[in-house]
Amino acid sequence: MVTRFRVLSVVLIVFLLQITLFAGVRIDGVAPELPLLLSVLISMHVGAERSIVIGFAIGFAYDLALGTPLGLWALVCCLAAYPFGVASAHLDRTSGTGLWLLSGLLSAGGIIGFAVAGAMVGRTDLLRGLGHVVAIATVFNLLLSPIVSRGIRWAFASGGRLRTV
Amino acid sequence: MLVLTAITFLTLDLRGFGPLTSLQQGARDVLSPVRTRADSIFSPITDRFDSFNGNDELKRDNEALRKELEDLKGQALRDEADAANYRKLRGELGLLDDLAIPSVIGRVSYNVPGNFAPNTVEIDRGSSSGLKPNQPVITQAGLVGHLVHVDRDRSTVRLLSHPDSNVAVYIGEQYQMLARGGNGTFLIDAVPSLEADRIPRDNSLQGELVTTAGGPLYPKDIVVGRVATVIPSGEQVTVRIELSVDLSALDFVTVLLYEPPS
Repeated sequence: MVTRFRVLSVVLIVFLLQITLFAGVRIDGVAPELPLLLSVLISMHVGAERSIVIGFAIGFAYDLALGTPLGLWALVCCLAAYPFGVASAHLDRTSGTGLWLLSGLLSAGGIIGFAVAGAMVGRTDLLRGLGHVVAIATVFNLLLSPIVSRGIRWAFASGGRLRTV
Repeated sequence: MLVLTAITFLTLDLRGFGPLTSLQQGARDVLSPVRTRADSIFSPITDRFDSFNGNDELKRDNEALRKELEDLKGQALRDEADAANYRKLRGELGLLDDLAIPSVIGRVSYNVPGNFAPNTVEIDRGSSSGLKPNQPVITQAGLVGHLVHVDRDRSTVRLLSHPDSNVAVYIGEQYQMLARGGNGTFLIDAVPSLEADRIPRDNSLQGELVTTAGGPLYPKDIVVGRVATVIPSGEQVTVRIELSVDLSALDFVTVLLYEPPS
């Protein structure tokens, strides 16, 4: 129960930071994509199967807040979370750096996936300047990854699985 | 299963399924006060980042001067438009003056959450101020765009530079054309429609005033800009229009509570 409450708190805080603080804090006009990072990092603690559900919920909330086509971020977040959940289960003894880089790779893949899936349903404008967005948002996500990861570790410290990123 | 659910939501949303639109709007309404409060709390940090990104105070002062210049430029263009209207003897009822339409002034924010809302801005007015989707947004200098999402206390404006922006315009006094947003630039590519054959293929249209032709989105005679260049390409002619408003430096805008003629 405590773990659930803590996880919910961390998700809520990160989510609110994304739509408030990081609406203005940008590097060259690009903000991080924290909900995507959050979905990926949480999957390390809950396993691949449940990470899909959590990724979907986070992505869906993000869609609701942004006004993007409903279901698009939900689709991307759950698909990005799954491989990380699988990888972290099989690479139990890998270095934190490996998972950190993998989280960056999945962030980049998730952003590209979002734009491509959006273009497939008619939102071709999402592809414009994609390289610029992917590059900066991925670096941003990598920089913030240790902080988000620490929050998640705190949330799961009361009983969940614990690994170091 | 969840992937299918996401795809189903996506399909329904893109088909304009009402309950999903209401759900999204309701969520944004709930978050709006949080965002407003957070904006004031985080403003010292966001201001610092603005400065880091080159948007320092000096730039803001320059923006104020630029706005003044724009106002004067817009005034000159409106005067020219009015003179053209009188020459055409449209009569008093035909001369739709934007001031005759009730309006609401809103402050612009470029801080739209996320990375995938190019060519859109937010204003701090919403349905509680009487705004509705598709109402036109202008400044003293000319047309800015129209409202796409209207929440209780915020609205999203789609700028003219958005690829999905379409405006029926008059070029000079003769040519009615359909203009559309460019690729994130501040120009509009206009493709001749009804009178394609009559569009001169030289640069004689260069500098001509461009105004709205009226329709379901925009009232008549709002200044859009001036013709920059005319580019013939086969049987088609592309007319590039330089907008009268600098869409990258908006501060306050006016939303016209325009009801299109039935």
